[in-house]
Amino acid sequence: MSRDGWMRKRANGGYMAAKVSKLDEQFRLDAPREKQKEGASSSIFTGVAIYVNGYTDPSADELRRLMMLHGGQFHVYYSRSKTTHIIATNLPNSKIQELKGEKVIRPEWITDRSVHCQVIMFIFHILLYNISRKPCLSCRLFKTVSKNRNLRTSVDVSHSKMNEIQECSKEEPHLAGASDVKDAPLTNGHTHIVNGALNSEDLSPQSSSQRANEKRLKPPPPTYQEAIKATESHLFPKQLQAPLQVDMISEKTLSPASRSLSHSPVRLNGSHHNAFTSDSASLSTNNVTFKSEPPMDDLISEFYSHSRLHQISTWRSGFSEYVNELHSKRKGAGGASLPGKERLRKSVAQRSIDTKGSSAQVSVKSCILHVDMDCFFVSVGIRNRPDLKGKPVAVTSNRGQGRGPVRPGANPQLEMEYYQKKYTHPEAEDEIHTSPSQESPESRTNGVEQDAVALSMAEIASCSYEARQAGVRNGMFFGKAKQLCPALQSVPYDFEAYKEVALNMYETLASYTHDIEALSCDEVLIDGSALLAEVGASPEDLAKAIRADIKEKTGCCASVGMGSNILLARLATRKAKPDGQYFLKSEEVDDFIRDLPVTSLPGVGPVMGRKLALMGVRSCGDLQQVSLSQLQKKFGPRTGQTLFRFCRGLDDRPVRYEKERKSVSAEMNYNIRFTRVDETECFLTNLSMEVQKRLQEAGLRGRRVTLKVMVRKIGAPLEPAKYGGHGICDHLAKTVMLAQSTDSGQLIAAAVIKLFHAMKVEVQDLRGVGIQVQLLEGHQSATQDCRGLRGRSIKEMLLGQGSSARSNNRDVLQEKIASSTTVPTANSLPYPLSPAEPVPGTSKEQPACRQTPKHSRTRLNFSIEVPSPSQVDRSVLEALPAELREQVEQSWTRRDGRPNNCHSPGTLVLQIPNQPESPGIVLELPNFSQVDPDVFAALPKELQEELKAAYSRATGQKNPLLQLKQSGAGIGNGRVKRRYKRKNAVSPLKKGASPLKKRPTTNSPAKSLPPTGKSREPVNIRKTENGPSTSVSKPEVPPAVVKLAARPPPALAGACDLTDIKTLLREWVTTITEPMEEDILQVVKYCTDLIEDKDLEKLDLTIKYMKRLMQQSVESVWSMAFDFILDNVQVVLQQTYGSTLKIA
Amino acid sequence: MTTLTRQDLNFGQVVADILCEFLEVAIHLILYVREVYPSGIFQKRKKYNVPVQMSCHPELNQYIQDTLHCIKPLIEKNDAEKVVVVIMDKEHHPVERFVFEISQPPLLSIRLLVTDCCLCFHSSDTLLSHVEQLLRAFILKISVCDAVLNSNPPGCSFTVLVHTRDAATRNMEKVQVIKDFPWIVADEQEVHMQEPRLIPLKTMTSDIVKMQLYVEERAQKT
Repeated sequence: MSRDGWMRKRANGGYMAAKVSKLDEQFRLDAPREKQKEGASSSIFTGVAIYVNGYTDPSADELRRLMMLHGGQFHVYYSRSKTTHIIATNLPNSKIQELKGEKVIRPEWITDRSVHCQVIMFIFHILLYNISRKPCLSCRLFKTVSKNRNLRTSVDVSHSKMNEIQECSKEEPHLAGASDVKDAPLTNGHTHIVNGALNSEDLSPQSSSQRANEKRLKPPPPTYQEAIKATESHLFPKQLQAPLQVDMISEKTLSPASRSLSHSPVRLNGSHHNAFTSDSASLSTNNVTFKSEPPMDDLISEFYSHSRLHQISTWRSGFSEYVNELHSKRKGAGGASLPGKERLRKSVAQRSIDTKGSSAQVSVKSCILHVDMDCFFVSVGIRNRPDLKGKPVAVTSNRGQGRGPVRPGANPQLEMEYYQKKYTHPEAEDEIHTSPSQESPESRTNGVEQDAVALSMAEIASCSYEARQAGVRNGMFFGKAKQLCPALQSVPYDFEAYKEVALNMYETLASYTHDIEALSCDEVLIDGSALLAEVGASPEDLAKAIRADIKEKTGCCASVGMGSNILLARLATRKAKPDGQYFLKSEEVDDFIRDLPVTSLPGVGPVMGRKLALMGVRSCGDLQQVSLSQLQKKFGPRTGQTLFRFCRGLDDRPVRYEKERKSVSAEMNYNIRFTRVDETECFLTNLSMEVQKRLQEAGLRGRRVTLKVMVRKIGAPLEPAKYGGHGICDHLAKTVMLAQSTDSGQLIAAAVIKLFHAMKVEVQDLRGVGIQVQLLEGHQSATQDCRGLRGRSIKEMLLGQGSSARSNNRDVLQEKIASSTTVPTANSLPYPLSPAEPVPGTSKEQPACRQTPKHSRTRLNFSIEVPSPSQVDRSVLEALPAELREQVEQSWTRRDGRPNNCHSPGTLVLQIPNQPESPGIVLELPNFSQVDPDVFAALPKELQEELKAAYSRATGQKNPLLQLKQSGAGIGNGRVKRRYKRKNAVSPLKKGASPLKKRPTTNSPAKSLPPTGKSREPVNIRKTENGPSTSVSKPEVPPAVVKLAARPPPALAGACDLTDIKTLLREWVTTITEPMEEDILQVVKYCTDLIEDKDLEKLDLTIKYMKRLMQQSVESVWSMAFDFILDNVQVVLQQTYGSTLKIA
Repeated sequence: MTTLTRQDLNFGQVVADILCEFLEVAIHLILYVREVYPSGIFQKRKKYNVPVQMSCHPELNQYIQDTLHCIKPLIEKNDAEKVVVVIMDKEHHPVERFVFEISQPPLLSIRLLVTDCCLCFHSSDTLLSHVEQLLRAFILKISVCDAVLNSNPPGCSFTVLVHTRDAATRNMEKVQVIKDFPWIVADEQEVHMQEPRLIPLKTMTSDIVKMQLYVEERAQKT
């Protein structure tokens, strides 16, 4: 599916245009800042607008930064008309075709130019893609190359290759200069691509470039060979020719598309088809053919690197790292200086002098401080804007108020589309009046929220306390918030500032103590116990000092809650806010917590809150009345315990500066629209690669892989209100255990794809996909690598995004190479993946070790007398778990010394054929005329067919003896009926959830009949037997001959073979903690059937097997279940045989 | 039709022959394994392609042969439900019972007849060899049954009981197979066992006969 098609189908109006213009604006706004930071800047890239396609080194982010610094343009979305260069290192065939005639260059072009701060040459790095594999493709590329050569220079063909190249490059500057000159004054045109306001200035650069294009159009040269040679020689020893690196020229061949550059602004706005970063559909199409190609799959990582909210969320780990770093530093350097601490110490000393010994400072045993910035985003956003202080303010991507002029009419299309239906409210007037700015480039957006802009469904990331008073809440849609609070002002995101403030805050806190746990970018836990004891300050003093410090350094307010544990500190923070502090003393805890609503406890969200409300629990006081067992029953052992403790203010979690990761995951639920399964698979592969990247970054390997998908709820509209959002969804998750821990994306992808297929969801209805890896274990080398990579200062992590991203990328690439080499070994494992779900009946695939607790060994020796090897049916032996089998074999070797002449060495275990081929089955059938049609009709279909086939085979084999059976026909038919009923009676076992019931329903009576006529003696033979008198004359023709087939052997849930029975029982016992009565009765019935069937041997084996299984089970219910079964069996045996089974 | 000429071939008889042959071997082996007689009177022989111990005591052999000879007609007519080898202690209370529970599929004869006529003897041969294999399993199982049984008190004797179906005994009275070797109804004392424990040994299912062997053992043997 082409991206174009996808976008067209969406009919998204001016959305893309708005987005693109916004991105441009964002770029423009960032540029000065970047320049300022870097100090040096130039305008060498003036007039150049790049678009980065796929993986590049340096990364797209870095390139963007460079473009900022040097006056270029960076397009997130490719536009044929405005993008002058495409940067790529690797392109798939399809893309090359698509981009035919565009300037595709290697990223080195940018870096080289910027590094040398001079215009080297206006020659493009051509992208050479895999000559060997795609000969035709490279030919096409070379064609354009040679065209250029021909066009620009009259290079002598006899020149050496190198010369040619240099010639080539020398020629270039002229043109470069020319085009630069042409483009230079028109730079602005690239940024202002908003449709309505397009003026002649905007048009000119395009026309000029068109002119340039036309100029370049020349007939192709006759020889391609040289060109190929030239390219080869060039691309590879590139590094050697530092300044002249750039040699190849890719030329515009004026494809129809580029020729049809109509420059109509309206059209441009509507036709930005090349959505790139977050367009998962296109992303997967790209990858259909290039699954494992590293450059391809970093589209997802690009998504993540562009999503700034995502970045914020990853800061936490960054800060944790920072704290870690502090700790290791302190270890290394002995006692580090803690200026904050010293200050505090001084002030305390000062005060104690002042107050003269009124040291009411109680020795607090342990004191946790919870520092939380007050509405972080808002306070950061308005810290330089005193005019907004005290006003309702919300941070949202919605509107960049106060930043640049409002441009009315910027996007009437969008307004028409969205606001007419959105705001029919009277206040809508106001809204529409101000709304144009929504689409103005000033407003900042990001990967996640960009969609919301158009809809005014932008979520409010944070709002000031003034706004909260008006009912505005975090996470609310801006439109709604505006209704609630018309005076609400919006402030754009300012990610740079967040970083800066957060960093300041952490630095401030770290000056007091290093016992810090980073909760998020604006939330920190401090274990102040040691500090307070050392300095002799009270928690209040510390909090005051911290708050003052933060206020001073960041200009933002922080609230501090204190308590004897984390929970209390957090709860105290609630009370402390805004801009305050509160120390929850242990004697106040009870009163304090009693009146708190349960939802204020951490971990109690709306769902659990509702559940608790159903139980009549609203406050923590109510919750205290609920018993622990009740809570655990309702919420599970751990959650129950936690709730029980929390509502009493108990919390024993320590403040940990280092947190163990429980899971690594990657999820995308934005813009997920697939049409085909292979797209989905590709996407999953890519997402797995992202997971791999994260695993490797964290130096972890995981065993349990969970695939979470969001599927459009049935009945939900196909397109959610939020553009690209997921709408109303059902959440599904499936988990698989890998055979071993892995961080290989390939393995994860394989597992996940399997899981995905097992889910059987419509790909079209997929709205979100997430992969989570759990059961993590670190692997040493990677951890170290990671430390090495990340163990720099936090500053570097935050500020040097570009560079670190670059090194990350490089790292990932290397790791990918590494992992690709290791993959084969992993794949060669016998079971790279365990089956996704227990498959009933496939016993051989089950790991045998599952149910062999150690004590089974001892018990075995007591309970089971091991028969001699010759005695043992090999099939039975093989069906035993490996461990048991070993024991049996051992016991044989032990026994060898014992005098036992029952078996000679030559005797081998018998291989008795399972079912003797007895072709005579046909003749068991009654004459066809004797068959009661009603009975026949009542038979299951398969049986009917079998019978029909049998009759057709039997024609011509009519036996006169059959005539004798007529008298017995009635009885026989009766029996058939009865059997059928019996079979039906068994069937309830097949329904339901327990493994016993999970048996596939394929076991129709016909199938369970021995197909080869392995006839079973009917139990009630005595009834049909007429005594010796009749049998004297015709002993071989008893009256009851009309049985259609032998009575089916007793079966448990369709299984009648001992191996199957055992498998079934094992599944039953091992997978279910508490047996259901119904199932137990079913087993009892099977056992009694066995007795009736006079198959005591099987009964014995079954009982013994169950005994082993159930008595070694952890749950005592299983022992009870076994006792129950055994009792019943013994009763029946007693009735039938007058004796009971000997169970040793 | 060929079937008519073959009608006289009584497959009940064939089954009875097979089973009696087997029972003879089995009884000898039981007597050996359960140490009813000193092991000196037993010789190793090869039956069903496995080594077995057979008594070479002529009187014992005769007794067993006579017994089986009398059982054979019952098996032929499918009247014998169980053939039981009872091992009794000095007081003639049973301590162990080896029960051969025999049941023959009623269609047996017809099927075999027609099998023969339609598909020649080949299938019949495979059938018999299969039965032989199954019987061998019995023999092997008996030879190791001491592993699952408690040892018997010294001075045991044995007897063979036949459980007949319905009114078979009536008929049996009339036809005495061997002179002076009549069937007598077993004493209650010989039949009843205190707290019997059941130990299944082997079950076989073949086309011609279905048989299972289990041991009933007195809980307290001494």
